[in-house]
Amino acid sequence: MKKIKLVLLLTGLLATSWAYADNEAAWTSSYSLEATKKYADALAALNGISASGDDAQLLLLRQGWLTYLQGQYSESVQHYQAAMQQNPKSIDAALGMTLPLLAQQRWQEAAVHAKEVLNASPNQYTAYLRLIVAEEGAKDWSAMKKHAEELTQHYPTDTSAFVYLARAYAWLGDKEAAKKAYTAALSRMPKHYEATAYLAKL
Amino acid sequence: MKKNIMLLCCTTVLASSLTHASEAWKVNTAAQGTYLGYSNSQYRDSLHEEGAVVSADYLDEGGVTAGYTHTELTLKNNQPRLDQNSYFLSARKHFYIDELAGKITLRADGHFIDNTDPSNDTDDVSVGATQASYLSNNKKYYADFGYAYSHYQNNLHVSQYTPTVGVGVFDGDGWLQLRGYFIETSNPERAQGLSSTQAAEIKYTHWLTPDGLFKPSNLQIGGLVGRRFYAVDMDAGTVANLADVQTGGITTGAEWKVSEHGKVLLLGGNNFYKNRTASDSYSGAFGYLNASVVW
Repeated sequence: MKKIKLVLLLTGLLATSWAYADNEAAWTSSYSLEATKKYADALAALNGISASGDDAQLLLLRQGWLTYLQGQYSESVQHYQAAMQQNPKSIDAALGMTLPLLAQQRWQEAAVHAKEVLNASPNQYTAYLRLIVAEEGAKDWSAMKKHAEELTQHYPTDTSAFVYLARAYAWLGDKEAAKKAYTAALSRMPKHYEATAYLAKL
Repeated sequence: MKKNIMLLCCTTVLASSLTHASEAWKVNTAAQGTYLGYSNSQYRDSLHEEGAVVSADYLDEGGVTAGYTHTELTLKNNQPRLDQNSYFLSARKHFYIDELAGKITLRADGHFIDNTDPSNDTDDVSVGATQASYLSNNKKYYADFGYAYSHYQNNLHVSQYTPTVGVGVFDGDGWLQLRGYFIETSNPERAQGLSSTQAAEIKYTHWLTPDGLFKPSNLQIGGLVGRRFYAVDMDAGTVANLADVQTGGITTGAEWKVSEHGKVLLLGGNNFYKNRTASDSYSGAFGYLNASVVW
């Protein structure tokens, strides 16, 4: 009886270590294929990973990302949605979700998820930036100005923040403020194409 | 009339509270008015209408619109004025199709019209309309196909087919749209002898860089050639149940962004009509004002 128990235990351990080895190989293969831009193959490499195992959440996020890279935005949204349902606190999932939504020009929905991230993690740079992109797409210039202004305060060395602020001012018809923001962008990145072009037109 | 205004106010209040209840809803309310003065008509003097439209969109998924318009048509030769109330309901749902690099929108509209026409020919009109449209992600290409079925009293049904194409020009600063109107009537005797009409409508919109309050945010020009009768305009959400056969027209206008959330659209133009039964050819110069606020 003891011998049988021992054999069963060893078999169990062996099977688990094989599964871990298989999973590790799948992740490694997926990351390598992504690095060579073979996104479909990188996605297929994850087929053996269990959707209900320990890596289930990571699997969904990775599927969301790799389908996004292939331009399969609707499928990407579904993966990120599933990841958000599995872990409503996941900033990775909410941020990931903004990518396919922005690509499909679903500006309002992208803004909602970017704001979710900012509620959970105030002043998060990527969330701010994606919120501003969504507001620019929705032509909500006042909101875009407000958030770009906040971004320049939190990240005063960031060129993009000043460029978005300048664009918002330009669309609001405030040429002087746009000029000032584009000049600030040029101080951070001399010869910035958009800033140089705008100032040359004045 | 009071009931209608009451209904409209309630809808607006409801729409506003909906916005406050959830950021996911975006509500647009608009008040609009038209004045049309007829020239060289034996029977018609003028027409004016006032109305309001409330539109609510849920995120980027779809939305609903409700509208009400009151119209007064003043006739010549001591004929009694014709009063009309029009109700409009519309719903739309967007679908994002990666293979088409754009979105498909399915839309369904309903119009209900009640007026004081003593002949009942233009009274108690009901219209059902549907439209499937495509807009590319880069906003350069648009196409739609619309179908409208209008039911009139005294043995008349009207079917309308409206294929449309639109294209972005001048690096996205301009938008050119061409729409065909193919209209078939079930009873030519009730349609001034016409069993079908065809017309083409062209519209061009040019967006301008903002510069102060008085510079418009866009300029518009459009024209119509051919003939159309009992047309349903799915852009404007209107039914031309009172108009005679339209034989042409030109429209021009501008839109101003007057505040953070407010816009004013002003259109003016001249349309040409013919009443084939009475051999009355005339024109109508019109002005249209629309003020809207996004909540």
